[in-house]
Amino acid sequence: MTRDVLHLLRIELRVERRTGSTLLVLAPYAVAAMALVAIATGADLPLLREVAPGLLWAVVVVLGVLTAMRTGYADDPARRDLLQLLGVGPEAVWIARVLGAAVLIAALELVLTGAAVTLLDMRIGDPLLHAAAVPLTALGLAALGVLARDLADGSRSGVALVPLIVVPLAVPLALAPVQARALSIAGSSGWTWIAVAALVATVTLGIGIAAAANLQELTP
Amino acid sequence: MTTISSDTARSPRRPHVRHDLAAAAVVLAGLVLAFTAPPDRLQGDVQRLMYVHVPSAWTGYLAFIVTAVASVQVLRRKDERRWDTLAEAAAEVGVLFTALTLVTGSIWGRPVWGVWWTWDARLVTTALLLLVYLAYLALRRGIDDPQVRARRAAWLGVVAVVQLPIVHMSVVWWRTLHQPPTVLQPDHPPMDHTMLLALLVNVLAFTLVAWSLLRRRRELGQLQRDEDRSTPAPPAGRAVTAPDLRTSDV
Repeated sequence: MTRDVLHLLRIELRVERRTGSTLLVLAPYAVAAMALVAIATGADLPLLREVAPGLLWAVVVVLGVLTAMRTGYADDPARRDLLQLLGVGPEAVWIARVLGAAVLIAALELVLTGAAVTLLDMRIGDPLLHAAAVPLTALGLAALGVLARDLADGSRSGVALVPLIVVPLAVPLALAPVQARALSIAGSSGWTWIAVAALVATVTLGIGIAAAANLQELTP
Repeated sequence: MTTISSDTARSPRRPHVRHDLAAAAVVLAGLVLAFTAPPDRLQGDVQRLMYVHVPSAWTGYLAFIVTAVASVQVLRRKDERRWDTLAEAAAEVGVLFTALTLVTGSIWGRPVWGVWWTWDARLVTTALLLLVYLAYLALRRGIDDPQVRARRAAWLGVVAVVQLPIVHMSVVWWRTLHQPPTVLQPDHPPMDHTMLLALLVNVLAFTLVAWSLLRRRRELGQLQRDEDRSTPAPPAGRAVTAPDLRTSDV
């Protein structure tokens, strides 16, 4: 299974390298959204410095959903059937899709962190905490996004429905790094909040893996 | 013949009528107790909103738990229709009572806190809970195939219920304006006994009203399904439609 997952993940990332839909389209759009909020709030640097962490993670959640919603290699019904005939389990396909989305969301987070530091003068706090928060939130958000996409696949309101499912459930993922950073700057330990992000990611991954076979059966 | 048919027609209704009458009686008792209970020393009569706010929150929680349990049953069983109808009905009832919780909380918050809305953990998590269940209902409306709809909604029903303990514990985990659990405190609740009685009777009244709504919504869902089943399926594709030769150039 691990070999199948890694193989599919490589294909997902190769497709992204060719299309550049996340790093060449979505990331600049995310930076533009961040700049727009900064201008709309009056370009007041002390205020922006204060709201920067919340803004960063809110933009990550809102645009990370779009990354998870993108059409991947295994989303084509014919390819999915072929993978099934080749004996690649739906769980492996699901994990590969989540990992692919997670890598891209993590890259988006890094680009946005750079933008928040340069444009909004954000202090990162404990770099170790930030380094732990990036992959965990990316994984949790990717799992939620891919699961929501599978649930809403073929639905009449599909495109609008995925963010409505994901955003309220992803609030702990936005809250955890912001609170962890605030605690680390105040001199306390923020690792409890990182554990919250890890818990959300683990629970969502678990439910997604359990649902993968059933949801694949229901996909037209 | 007439007697038999009228009995047959009425018999399923009787428990409903009895249940509705019981619910109405308890609602009436709840109202009387809510208006005769002593006013709060600091908040005055505004506090009486608690007799609607707390029971509606409890009923919302309960309805979402029913949705989750029914969703698990949908995923476990092959014949999922009965449980799916229950999950849908409970989600709708839960959304109704959770929205009522937020509205009554907001009306109470204006005179007591000075604002309609504050960024308190309990308020925010409750609003998020409502949004997720609105998404659940939107998901249901967007899928036509009953089996696909039941299964997909069931998975979301299982995911969404994870929020309930977060909402409940939010007043313990965060420093909030919203008061911590009062009735469910391990030692006896720090509340006047008349107020506590009024609250508990109203909790019972809301639960019975929710149960009535749930049963009726479930019946409606079953009728809807029967109607769908009795409607003949459209022909498979346009190819089977006979060409209209009168308008044809051939």
